[in-house]
Amino acid sequence: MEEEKGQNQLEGYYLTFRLANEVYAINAIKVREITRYQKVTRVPRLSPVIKGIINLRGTILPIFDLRVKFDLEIKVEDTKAMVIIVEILGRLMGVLVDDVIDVIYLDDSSLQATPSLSPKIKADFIKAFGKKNDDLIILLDMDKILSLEELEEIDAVNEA
Amino acid sequence: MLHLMRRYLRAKILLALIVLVTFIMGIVIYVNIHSQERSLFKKAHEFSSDIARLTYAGIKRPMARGNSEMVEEQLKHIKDSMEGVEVYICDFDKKIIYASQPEAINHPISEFIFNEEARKYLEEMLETGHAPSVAFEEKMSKKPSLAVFLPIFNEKRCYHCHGTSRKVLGGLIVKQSITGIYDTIHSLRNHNVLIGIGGILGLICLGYFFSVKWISRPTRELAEKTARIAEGDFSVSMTTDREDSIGILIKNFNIMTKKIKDQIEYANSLKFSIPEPFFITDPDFTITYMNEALERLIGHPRSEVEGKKKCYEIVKSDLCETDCFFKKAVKSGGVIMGRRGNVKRDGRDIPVIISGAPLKDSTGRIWGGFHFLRDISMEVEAEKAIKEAAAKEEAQRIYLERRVKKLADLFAKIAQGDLTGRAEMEGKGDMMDKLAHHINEMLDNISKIIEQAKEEALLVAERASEISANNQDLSKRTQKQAVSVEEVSAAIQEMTAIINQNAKNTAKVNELARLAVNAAKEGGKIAMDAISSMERIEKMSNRIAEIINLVNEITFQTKLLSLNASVEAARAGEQGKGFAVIASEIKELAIRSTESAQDIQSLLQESTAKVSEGINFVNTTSENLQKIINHITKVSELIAEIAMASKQQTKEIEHINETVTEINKVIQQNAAFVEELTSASERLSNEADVLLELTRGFITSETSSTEVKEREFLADHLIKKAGLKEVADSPRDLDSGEKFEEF
Repeated sequence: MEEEKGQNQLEGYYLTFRLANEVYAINAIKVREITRYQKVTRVPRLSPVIKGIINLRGTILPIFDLRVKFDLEIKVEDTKAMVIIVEILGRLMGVLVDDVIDVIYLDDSSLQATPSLSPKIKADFIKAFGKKNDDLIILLDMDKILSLEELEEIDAVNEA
Repeated sequence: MLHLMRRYLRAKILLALIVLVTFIMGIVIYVNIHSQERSLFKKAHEFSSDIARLTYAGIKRPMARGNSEMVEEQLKHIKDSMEGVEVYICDFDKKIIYASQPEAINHPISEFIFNEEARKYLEEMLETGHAPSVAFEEKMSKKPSLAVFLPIFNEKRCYHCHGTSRKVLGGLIVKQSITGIYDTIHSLRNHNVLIGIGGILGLICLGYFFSVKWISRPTRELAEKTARIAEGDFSVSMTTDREDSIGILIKNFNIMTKKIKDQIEYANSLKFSIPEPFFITDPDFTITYMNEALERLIGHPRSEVEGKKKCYEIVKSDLCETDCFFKKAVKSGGVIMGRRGNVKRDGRDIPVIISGAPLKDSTGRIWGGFHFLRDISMEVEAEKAIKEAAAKEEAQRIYLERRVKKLADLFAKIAQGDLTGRAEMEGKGDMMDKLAHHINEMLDNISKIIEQAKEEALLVAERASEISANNQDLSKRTQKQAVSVEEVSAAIQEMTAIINQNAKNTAKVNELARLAVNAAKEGGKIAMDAISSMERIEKMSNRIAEIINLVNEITFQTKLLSLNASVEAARAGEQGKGFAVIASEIKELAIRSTESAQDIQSLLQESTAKVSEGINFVNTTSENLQKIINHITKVSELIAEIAMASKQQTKEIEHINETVTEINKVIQQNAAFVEELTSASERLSNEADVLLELTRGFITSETSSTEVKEREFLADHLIKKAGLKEVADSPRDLDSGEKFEEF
């Protein structure tokens, strides 16, 4: 029901975070926890998007690096970096971001649907653009952000 | 015999041997014979006892049966078979019942026993039954025999005839002839005596032989040798290898002989080694020995003198009459020492000194005299020569006295200043003449010298006055010189004062420089303190930065927590709205904290930068201060050098001052010298005057009285002139500095 509501209605609480000078936001409902970045264990032969795995209070979680996904410059490990534990299609996983900013409420008036970009660019994971205090916020759809292969890899990791 | 014994040792030894050997051998032979006799008798006794027992054994049974025939038979058999053996059996009445000699039967036994003692024993035996243990010798009869008794006891088997009343029934007597034994004893005794005599003779011969060989012969030889020594023959000696007393005696004899020979040789060598003439006389004054020296002295050979002449025939001396040591020696044993005498030789007298001593033997008896002569003709000659020399010397002395007296008179005149006299010459050409000649020469020379001295004295007086005049001039100049030097000295004093001031100022500057250095050093120290304070500030800043980091961390955690809370609130929807506000507030606080922390951090960084800047400044200041210290130190060193130089200068100036003082002193001395010179020249003038006076006292033959007077006048004039000038030129004003250049 929430999903449906999310698809139909964009208004709601969002967790905003910063990545390479840009501000992104994800639905706060999807967020389980925010934690400090800790050293990941690299798992061989995984796709570069999966940075590695961490042990969060006894649960093994894969860490998903958005910089790789967005072809951004790979940053050296930062102690200030944060990991947002999110639920993607029923799977728990960590998303590595530069900094978490806030949880904000965005109403419809401050949201704008995704403009139609070039069909070549696969950008269906951008849900909308939000505005807050003159800042532009990119709203991400976490369920669409990962490819099928990536999801399978994550599943494999989770099963392991 | 006694005479022989006293004379010969051999006879004594022989007699001793005979007595000893005979005594010992006699005892031996006697004991031997006695023991042989005893053993023979013992054997005969045993034999007789055996016969008695055998006979008794043989007749016992027949007698017991009362068979008298058998007994007689038995006894007869004994008689036949054993010669010299008689057996008698008697009853207790001593009547013979049976006998080997039938004629003896029924005779009393006492007819056949001649020994009284034996009879007594027999009676006792018949009474008591005790058989005597001895045999009895029968010597009374023609044939000597040995009797043995055996009692016949009353035994059981005899009772049937004899009853039991008696103990002894009778006795058995066996007599055995011992003629054979006596013969044997006699022959043995003869044998023994013969062998004994032979032995004695043999022993005596042997003993005599050895005693002669070992004792008598060497002692006789020794006696002969000692007899020869006693006669004066010392060439004897004996050889022996014996070690016993005689051997030692012989060795000692040899040593003794050698010692005597040595003594004689010693005496002889003494006698022959005396080089002085001497002779030895016997108590009758006959010369028994004279040596070669005496032979040479008297000119007679020894053979003519020895044993032929008396001592007073050779040596003539008044001593012989009055003080002959021989005669004295007989009285007191005295010695004469060195008396004058004469010895005749070829008709002339030779003076000699005679000494002498008596010669004594070991008992103290005087057996001769020992006379020494010493030829003193040389000494007598020398004495004469000395006397002559003494007379000559006396004459010489008188002559010299006379001459010396003359010279003394001459010298007396000279002493009074008269040089005209001359010494007398006697033309002898001796030392006195030479002396007179030299004195004359001397007088001539002295006269000449005095003449010259007179002239010289005048000249000296003139010169003295000239010197006095020059001295005045010199004195003046010396005064001027002294004044100039005084001035120089004063100038130097001033200069010294200035330099000293200079040195003092320099020292003050030096002190100031030192203070400056100290101040700079103090500044450096403060700078160092500032640096350390700033370093502390830096440390504190670092600590603050650490704390800020901690704060940052806390705010980060807070932010994280607030975000999580916000997320939870968002998920809670409408219910979480209030909570979301609080979370948002917290987050705001966290963000503000972070900002504040960042502000503090930036401020801190700024402060740190400022502090390091401050440190740099302080460091620079410190370096500059160090530079200042260095410069000031250099300045101080330079000042010290200047001070040193000043000191050196002062020293040099002082040196100059000393030198000037020295010069001044020298000038003063010069002045004193000049004064002394003046007074010396005055004295010189006076002395020249005195000299003139003195020379005037001498009378010399060449000087004419007029000439003298002229010269005297001149001299007086000169003396007066010198004296006046001196008075006029006495020291005047010293401080007139003019004509300094002349000095």
